[in-house]
Amino acid sequence: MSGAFHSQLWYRVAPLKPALKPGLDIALHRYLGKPWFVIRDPVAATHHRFTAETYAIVGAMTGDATLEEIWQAACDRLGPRAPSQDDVVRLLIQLYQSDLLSVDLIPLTEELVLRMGKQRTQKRLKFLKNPMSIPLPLFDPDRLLEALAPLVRGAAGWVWMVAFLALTLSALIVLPASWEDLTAQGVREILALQNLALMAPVYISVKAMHELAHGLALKRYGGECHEVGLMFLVFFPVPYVDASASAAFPSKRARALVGAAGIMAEVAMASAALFLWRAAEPGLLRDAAWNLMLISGFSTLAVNGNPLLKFDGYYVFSDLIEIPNLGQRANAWWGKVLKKRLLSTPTQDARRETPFEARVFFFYAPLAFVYRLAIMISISLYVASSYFVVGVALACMSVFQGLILPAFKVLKHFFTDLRLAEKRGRAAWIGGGVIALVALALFAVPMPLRHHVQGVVWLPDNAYLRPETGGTVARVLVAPGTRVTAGQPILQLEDSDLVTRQKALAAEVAEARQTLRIAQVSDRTGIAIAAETLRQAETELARADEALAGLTLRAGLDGRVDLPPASDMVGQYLAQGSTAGHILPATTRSIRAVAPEHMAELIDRRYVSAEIRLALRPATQRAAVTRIVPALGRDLPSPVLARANGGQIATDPTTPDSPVDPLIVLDLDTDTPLPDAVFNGRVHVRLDFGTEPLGYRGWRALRRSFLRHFGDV
Amino acid sequence: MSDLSVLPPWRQRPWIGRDRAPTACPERRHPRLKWWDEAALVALTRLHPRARPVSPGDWRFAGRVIRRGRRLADLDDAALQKAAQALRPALLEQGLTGPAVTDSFALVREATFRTLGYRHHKVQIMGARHILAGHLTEMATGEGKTATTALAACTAALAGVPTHVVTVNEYLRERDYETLRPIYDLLGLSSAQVAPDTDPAAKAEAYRAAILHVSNTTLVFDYLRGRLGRDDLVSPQRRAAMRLAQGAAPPVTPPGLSFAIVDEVDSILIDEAQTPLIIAAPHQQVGAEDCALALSVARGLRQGADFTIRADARRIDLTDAGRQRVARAIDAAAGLWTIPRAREELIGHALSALHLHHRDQHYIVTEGKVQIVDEFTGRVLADRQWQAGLHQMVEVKEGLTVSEARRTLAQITYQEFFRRYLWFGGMSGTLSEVGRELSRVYDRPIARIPTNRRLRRRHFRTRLFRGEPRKIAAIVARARRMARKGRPVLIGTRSVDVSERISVALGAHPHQVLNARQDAEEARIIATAGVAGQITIATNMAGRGTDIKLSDAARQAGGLHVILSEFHESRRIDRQLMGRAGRQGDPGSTEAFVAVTDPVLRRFAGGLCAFARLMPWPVPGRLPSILATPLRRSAQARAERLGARNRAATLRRSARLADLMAFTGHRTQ
Repeated sequence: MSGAFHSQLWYRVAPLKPALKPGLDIALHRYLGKPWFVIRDPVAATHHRFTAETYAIVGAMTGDATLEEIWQAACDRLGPRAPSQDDVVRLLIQLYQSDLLSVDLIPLTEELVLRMGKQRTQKRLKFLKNPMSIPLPLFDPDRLLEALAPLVRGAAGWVWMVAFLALTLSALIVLPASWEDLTAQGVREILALQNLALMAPVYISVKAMHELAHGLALKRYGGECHEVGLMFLVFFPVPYVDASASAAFPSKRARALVGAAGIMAEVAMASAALFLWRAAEPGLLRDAAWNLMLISGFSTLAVNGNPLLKFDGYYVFSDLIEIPNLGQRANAWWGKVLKKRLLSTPTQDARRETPFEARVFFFYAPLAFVYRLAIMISISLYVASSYFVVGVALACMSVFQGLILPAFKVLKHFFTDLRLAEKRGRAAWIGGGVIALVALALFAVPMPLRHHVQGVVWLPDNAYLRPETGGTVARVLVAPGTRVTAGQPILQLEDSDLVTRQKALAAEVAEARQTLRIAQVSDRTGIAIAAETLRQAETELARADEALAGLTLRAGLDGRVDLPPASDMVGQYLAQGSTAGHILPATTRSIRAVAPEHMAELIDRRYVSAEIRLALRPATQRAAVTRIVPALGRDLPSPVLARANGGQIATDPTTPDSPVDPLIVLDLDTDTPLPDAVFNGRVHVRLDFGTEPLGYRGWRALRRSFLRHFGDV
Repeated sequence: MSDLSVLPPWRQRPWIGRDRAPTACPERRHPRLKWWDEAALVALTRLHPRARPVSPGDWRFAGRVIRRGRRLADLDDAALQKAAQALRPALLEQGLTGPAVTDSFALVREATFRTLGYRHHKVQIMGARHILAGHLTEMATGEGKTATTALAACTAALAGVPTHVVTVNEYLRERDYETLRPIYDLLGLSSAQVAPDTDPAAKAEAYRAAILHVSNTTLVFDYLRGRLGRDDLVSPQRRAAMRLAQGAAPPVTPPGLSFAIVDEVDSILIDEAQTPLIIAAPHQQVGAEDCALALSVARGLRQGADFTIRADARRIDLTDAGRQRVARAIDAAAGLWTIPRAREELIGHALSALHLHHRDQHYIVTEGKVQIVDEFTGRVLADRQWQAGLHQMVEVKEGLTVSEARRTLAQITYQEFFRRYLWFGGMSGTLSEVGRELSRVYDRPIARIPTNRRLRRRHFRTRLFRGEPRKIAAIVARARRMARKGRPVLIGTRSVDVSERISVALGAHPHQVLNARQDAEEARIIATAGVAGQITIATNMAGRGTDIKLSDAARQAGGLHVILSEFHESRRIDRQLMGRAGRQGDPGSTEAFVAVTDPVLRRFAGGLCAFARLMPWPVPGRLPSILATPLRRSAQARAERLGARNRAATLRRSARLADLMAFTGHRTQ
């Protein structure tokens, strides 16, 4: 089986008189200027494509001639382009495995049983291999479609086309004007429960129209459609129709149109919905229109219309560029090129691709691979956010299917292919080299490790005007906005109770003194008691004096007074320790930043330096972390840091000040004072943790995400 | 055998068969193994020892057979035959593990005494018991394997199972049959032998005998020929359909593959396992001019730039540059040459005729014909051709007339063929090295039978040389010295040309050469090889089963001295050759003279050899002998590993091919 012209197995097939199974449809197609014969098996709903050279063999299989005669005739006719005996043997194997062949022999029971078992296993395996897309056939829509077919056949089809174009183009014209309004609704609203309830019926009708469009397009060109069903894509039901009959259409435009009909229907519906949305009053209808646009627009762009995923767009694309089996062939082409370039194995393949095909393959395979993997992983992550175990299982499966299984297949090919066996040494070197390089890059090459967090300009503690004793504001000594120096009184509070109490205590002291003096004269035994009473009274008096002094609020530092207007203040009660106002210094060094809790370890172990930049000024400055406060309640130091206000921290929408995830608070001091800093102004802080290879970071992130999930349980 | 009840029925009566193929005639189909089955099998065979030693039960059984035999001594021949025939129902009922086997063995042992004049030893009885159970038994060379065969063959035949006794060549088949035939006759068992040239009618008759002696090639070719074009044999349904259409179906030879006793089983199942046996019909395909043109183009191609050679894979690949060069070179040609694939194939054949197939190593030229030499046995493979095109290319290269190309009609390998027996037992002197592979691939356990007599063979130290000239000189000197002492000397070589080079070096000293060219005189050369002072140079053909009878003078002088001129790919083949000395209690000695430039060492331990050559050593042209063993071990281990991997791959490939070719309506051939 090594591509030889004279096959070693020829003797086993030469005397056979094979015939194609009756009832096959055969059509002549053109792909990239070359004729191809497409054989469709209407019973199995499969189609097979043969080159003209191969068809010289296939077409001659009538059951009258032996294979030897057929091949000789083909050789005479085709000359240099004649297929080799090996090609013919392979062709027969292929035909037999596709159930297209009948041979004039009594079949072997054992063989039949074996094939049956194999097919059954394959069916089951299909289920297991692709749990993300499980088909569930429902009914045969052919008669329904046939009844509707006059709507699209002949000139009626053109009417639809013109209507589609008009609708879509006009929608495109008005779209930019409505874009801002359209996008005003946020993600949170999309996923809100009421909207989901509205989305479901819209979704079902959009998809039903989509499939109906496929079916009708098929009918326009005379195809048959015998299966409608539900496909469970990631457990989510998506309707499908079996439009495989279109593969036999000779015209590529017809094939592409059948593939594109669904998307076109959705785009048309989205366009109509746009106009409806613009015209309608806010309410249910408007919401439904908005959802319709979202569903058809998004799903068309990201999934259905995208040629990188094997949905409608892929088939339309491959039909239009006339490369059927694009994905498969692109992968095969890459395999061949890699084998040739890396292992310098001689190519045996007679069928060479055109430069155009090669270019398409070159780009398509890697793009599709990355995109598919990214989609699968993001779906898994999305699911994992709600159902952790299911998501992780899906992610494992995606990685298994997207990376491990292909790798395993490549390896298996490697160890079983005889031609590759001798290149195994070289291949092992290359493979080992790549692995070593990746490992080196991941675990040995140090990469700068930095994190960016946000903070606010923070005042030093002594900038706060906090009464040491609670009291009612009697007088505002300094007008708000004036500059003061440290120690200058700002506010005078009064507390009549305290004054009375101080007077009472002063009287008590006087009394105690008298008592002591009497005792010194008359009652020597009472001296100690009287002295003690006096001391107590004096202490209490001192305390009361202190409290009285505390009624005067003084500036802790030089700066501008920041107080509400005096008229608001006078008569207001200020509790002890509450913030009455601030003294804003001309310059400050303090910054308070917040970081996710998991960064505490990193700061603890690897912190090297920090750099800050004020949101309002481009220059950066060096700073130093002075204090880490873990688990500082659940409140943000400043609302500025919340995501709703342009920060990084996600907050609970019901209580805007409390963050969703635990945080740590970092206090930083800048090296040079910050000029013109606005108190509570946003500051970007870059924390430098030196260098660390990428692998360890990935490992940490992975461990963290698992710990978080299992820690919560 | 008290544990009879616990044995599964297919162990008691192996002819029931577990995996009967759905063919019209009894055959076995190996169960399809999934990869996990194979993995488990590998693990399990690793857990077992390579060869199981005999159990106390075996010794007790041998004792019982001998005791039972004492009572038979006073029966006359007719009564003996009657007793034997009377055993049939008991054997059929109890199978091959019941007490009837003891009786049967005792009867055969007695019959052997009456016809051949000796009785089986205990080791032979135990060996026969294992063979009958379908084990492969390792018995030391010269332990009387022929007589052992009789015990197992007669017992199976008495149970009604058609038994094939398979030998590696016609000489041994003839010798064994003539030796054992009186025993069969005495017991009233029909027996026959088939030679390659027996006429078809006689063959058909012979294949119906209870015991058939046949060589492996004859058997396989008869099997292929008998099933050629017989679609009706593939399934019982087809056979029934044919009966309906044509009345009685014609008979087939052999009428089924039931039980075989395979002599030198490792040679057939390992060394020759992959050799395809092909039935071909003449079929003109390639003309001499095409070959000549292909050769002339191929001579102009440069190695490396235009094509690459993989010597061990025995394949040549054209590079892209080479292809273009070929296309330019045959610009004006017509016919097949216009088809790129066809012309590249022709050039490929021409290149391998020039670079891969060497005269006197892979083939010899006799009587204007190219004769292929078997790499393992060193024998000419009569009437064998390489694949169509290649053979003709070699003929043109040698300037011979081009023979007709042949077209394959059917083919099979030994590997596949013997797996089709319902069960088979085997014997060899050298099994333990490949025990694991045999028990895994053929699911035959390996049993090691102890020797009866002490071995009187001495092994001298191996000498290691830097190059071949010195080695040959040393071999010649040693052979002369030994011959002068009156000892017969056997020099074993790996290829025809080495044997001839040694012959030239021996010059005037009287000696005889046994290689593929002297095929016909084999029996005479072997017969005189044991004469005192005789020097015999032989390729591997003198290995398997060759019994060199010593003359009295030679025995007095110290017996046969065997010189290995090189190590073989496998230790087993070395041991086979050395086993020619010291047979059946005779004295003898062996030694090896090898050079680091020997093909096997160079190919499989190239690095080590190059390293060894750097070592300084005072004796010119020599290297320290102590290096010989590690070099040999490393080379042979690698060669055997490669071989085992290849055999496993062939087997897997043929299974896959059978699946793929299912559309032909035949799974096999």
